[in-house]
Amino acid sequence: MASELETKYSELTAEGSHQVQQGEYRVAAGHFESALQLARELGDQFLIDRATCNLSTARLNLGMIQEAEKGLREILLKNSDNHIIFLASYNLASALRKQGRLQKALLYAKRSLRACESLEKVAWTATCHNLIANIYMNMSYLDDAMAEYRFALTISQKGNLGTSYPVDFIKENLGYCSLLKKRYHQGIATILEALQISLANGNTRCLVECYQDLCFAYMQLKELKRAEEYGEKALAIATERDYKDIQKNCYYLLGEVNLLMENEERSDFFFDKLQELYPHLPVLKQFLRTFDVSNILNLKNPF
Amino acid sequence: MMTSKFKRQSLLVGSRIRSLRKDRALTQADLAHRIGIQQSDLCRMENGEYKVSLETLFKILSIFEMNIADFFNEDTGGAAREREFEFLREFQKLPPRVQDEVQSFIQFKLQSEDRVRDEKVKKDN
Repeated sequence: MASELETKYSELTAEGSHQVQQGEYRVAAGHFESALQLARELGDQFLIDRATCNLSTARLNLGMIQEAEKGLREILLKNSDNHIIFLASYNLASALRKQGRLQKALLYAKRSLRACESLEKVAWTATCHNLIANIYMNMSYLDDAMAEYRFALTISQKGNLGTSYPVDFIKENLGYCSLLKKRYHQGIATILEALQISLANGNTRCLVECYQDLCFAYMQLKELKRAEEYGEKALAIATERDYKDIQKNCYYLLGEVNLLMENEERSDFFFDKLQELYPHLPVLKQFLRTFDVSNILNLKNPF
Repeated sequence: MMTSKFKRQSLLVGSRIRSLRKDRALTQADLAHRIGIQQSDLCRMENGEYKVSLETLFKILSIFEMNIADFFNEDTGGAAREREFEFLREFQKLPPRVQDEVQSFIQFKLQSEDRVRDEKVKKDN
């Protein structure tokens, strides 16, 4: 009986992890919740902690930051298992990052990296370097971020990860970082690579970020029609998958692109959509119509 | 075209945040706390070195309870700013050709006012 439950636990965990890689976070959360329930029935603390960490990953991606953070510190305090330490500190770092507590996020991301180095899992190590790079990018330390992304790609290559997850995300982030440094053509080339990989991997979340960032890149290059096409693609997927952060960014991008194209009606449509999300800020739409904020924005800052 | 002229205001956003913060007697630490970022990051934001999310940008607007006209001219009164801004809003809706006509008309009126003032000075002397 116990072994049946353990098998079922493993299946649910594997399926949940697969769904995370596909960007199906709600489905993944369902699998991890069931796994957690089974682990509780088994009374196995290691499995409970692992399922809690996995559920935290799915919740983080669903924007449920407080719920995702719950219990992770306790898990870290009582565990010496590097697998669990890696998962808990990685998720804690991600949760802190999403709240803008970047210094602390960096500490936990580095702890996560230390833990997974002993596990000899190249994909996890690359993921940790990607997270550290994301934190640097959020801090606007772009050179440090690019160095980390490149290092993550190097170890992915050495570890024969090919184009599997998380290489798609790392390339996408590296490409966006180039855009922030105004190296638009270089950034576009890297993001287009990431786009092909994420299509092949079925990684919808990465795909939608590629479309969003290509919209931004072409907007900055004033290739507005192309920018609009990518923005519309990103918005369609973000709406379907309920990626709220991308939706907001796309409302802004498409509002701005249409404003630059002098399609005022269309621009108003998107800025109005954004304005609806901030009813307490009645000047928002007019502010965006008046100021070009594209050079002070980081679309990947989650806070 | 007027739109692009105002679009260039983007370069001043960081320094305007600093100036608005000082107007409201807020320290960097106070404002950083309210925005939810590190003080050092706010300092870099004011210097134009730190990039923000839409969320943070809107939070800043909300904290300052900002009227857009605040970004244009901090010395004029609120009602005047509103009127000027209303003018700008309507101006931006005009096609470029008509905007040029409006600008020419304004130039003409300014020159007329100058002439009237010069004549008055001559008469007074």
